[in-house]
Amino acid sequence: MKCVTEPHAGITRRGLMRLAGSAMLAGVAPRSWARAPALLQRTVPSSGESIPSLGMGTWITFNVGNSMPLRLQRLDVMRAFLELGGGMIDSSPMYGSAQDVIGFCLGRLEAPSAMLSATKVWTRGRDDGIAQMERSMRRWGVDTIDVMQVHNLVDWRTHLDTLADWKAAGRIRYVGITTSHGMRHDAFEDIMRSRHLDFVQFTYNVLDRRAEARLLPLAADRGIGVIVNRPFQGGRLFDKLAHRPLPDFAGEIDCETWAAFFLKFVISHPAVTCAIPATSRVDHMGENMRAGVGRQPDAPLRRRMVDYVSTL
Amino acid sequence: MSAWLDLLADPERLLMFTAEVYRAVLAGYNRAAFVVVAVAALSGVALSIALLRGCRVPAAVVYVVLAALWFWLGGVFHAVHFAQVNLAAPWQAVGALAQGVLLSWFAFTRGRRAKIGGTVCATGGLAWLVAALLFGPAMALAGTPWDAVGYFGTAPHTLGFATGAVLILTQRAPWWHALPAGVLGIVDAGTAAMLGERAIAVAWLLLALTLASVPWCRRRRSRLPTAS
Ligand SMILES: NC(=O)c1ccc[n+]([C@@H]2O[C@H](COP(=O)([O-])OP(=O)(O)OC[C@H]3O[C@@H](n4cnc5c(N)ncnc54)[C@H](OP(=O)(O)O)[C@@H]3O)[C@@H](O)[C@H]2O)c1
Repeated sequence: MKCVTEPHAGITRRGLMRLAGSAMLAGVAPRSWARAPALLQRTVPSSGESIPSLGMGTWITFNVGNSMPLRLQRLDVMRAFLELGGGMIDSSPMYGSAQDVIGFCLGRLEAPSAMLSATKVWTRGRDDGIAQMERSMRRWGVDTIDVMQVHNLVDWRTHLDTLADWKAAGRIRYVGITTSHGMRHDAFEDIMRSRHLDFVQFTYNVLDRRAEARLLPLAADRGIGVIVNRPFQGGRLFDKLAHRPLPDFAGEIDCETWAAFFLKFVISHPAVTCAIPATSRVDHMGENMRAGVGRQPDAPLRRRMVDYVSTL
Repeated sequence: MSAWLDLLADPERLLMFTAEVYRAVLAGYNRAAFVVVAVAALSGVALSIALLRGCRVPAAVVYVVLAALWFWLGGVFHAVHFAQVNLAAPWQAVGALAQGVLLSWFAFTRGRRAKIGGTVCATGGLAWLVAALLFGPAMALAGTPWDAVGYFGTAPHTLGFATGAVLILTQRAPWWHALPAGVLGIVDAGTAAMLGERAIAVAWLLLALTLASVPWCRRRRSRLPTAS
């Protein structure tokens, strides 16, 4: 079986698993995950920049308001994410207090250079869009945002023009559009064909593979980076499958958990740049990040993954 | 608008916070507003005692207090605290403020001559008033942290229960004046059900059934033979 392998740095995979495992047993985040092996990296097609194949989402999980105990707990989650080599942090003004909580966490952490800020514009009109994006930057506590996306295509014509200007002015580095749940793929495809985009974001996971038909091939064709949202189908994959045994071949791709199984399926697709699973728990973050290390499935093995899941 | 329709298109995304976060918001609110929470609870105790002793209380006074509580719920609970985690909270705040306006209107018009107590369904109304008072402590005794439960008249469900109780207890109750509370009640019951807060959802359902049975209760009473 052919596998895609990732660069290693210092410590063995087994070592990382032991480290994360002991943290889980203790129920706390280890002080430092710094010696973790490097995560599988992917290239952003439009720039050639290498970024970690695993990011994190913040929908619901980081919307904790002003509660200090919950904010501190999310700080541990983000610390684990960054120390394990995570890259993109995705948010939106639609996610309630999530951007404030990200700002709170980033203000207390040393964000490595691999971190990419990604947020969205989710309103109508040029001026309201600009005001909202500026508010987002203040909430994150940053001067520039790496990836600015039009959320669910809301008033996309207006915002894509603004984003092109902002990119030229260096206020953002990448421009993107998002959708999810398989919605509006036709319109999405038209925009991918007609506008210059650095990233597209949509839903793709082992059970929801609607993006395989057109969006993923088109992104590869047009050199657009792909951010995958809902890699766990909003957590449903665990409800449906986590009580079932992992297949025998899971060992061939270094999967010890369903979380790694689901994520490896996503990030091993050649057109995918990164997946952004969301979690509110440090132990889950440890599990999720392990998907980015070890062997990744090739095309025949990816088919076996789909076949196995469909038999359950 | 289309941004909001996007949210509504997907029932999974209707709730953007977890039960843990809702309780944390409630805890922060209870701590910040403990004086108002205590005063509201005392007003509930006073009204319950007066009614249990058979007094008829001027409706205007009760409706003014209720209206003040709705203004507080909209202006502070929804607009300041709940809005931290819920994009729909400002709309709920508007609903609560509208409810406050309608109750004040009643208090200063028809309510000036009306009395609370002595209605055909007085027992049901009193039971709901006591339920509104004891609901928070009961949830705390059942395991929810004491600071993370709603107390009399200062949380969406407890104020809804108190309002329902007062309507049942009011002679010629201003039913349509409570329309916003009804809509907010449906939203709160749905939220509670989705968060797994079953006691709150079930209590809302029982209150709705009690309110629906008031006309039936009246009709039945009017058919009873009167003593000669
Ligand atoms: N249109 C858009 O732009 C759009 C739409 C949807 C999503 N997104 C983005 O994509 C991100 C990801 O999507 P999502 O949050 O909807 O869903 P998701 O990442 O597929 O699933 C998140 C759920 O999985 C659970 N989970 C995570 N790791 C786990 C583990 N190791 N074991 C068991 N359960 C685990 C989490 O619960 P715990 O907290 O308990 O771990 C959470 O409930 C979002 O946060 C958001 O940033 C964007």
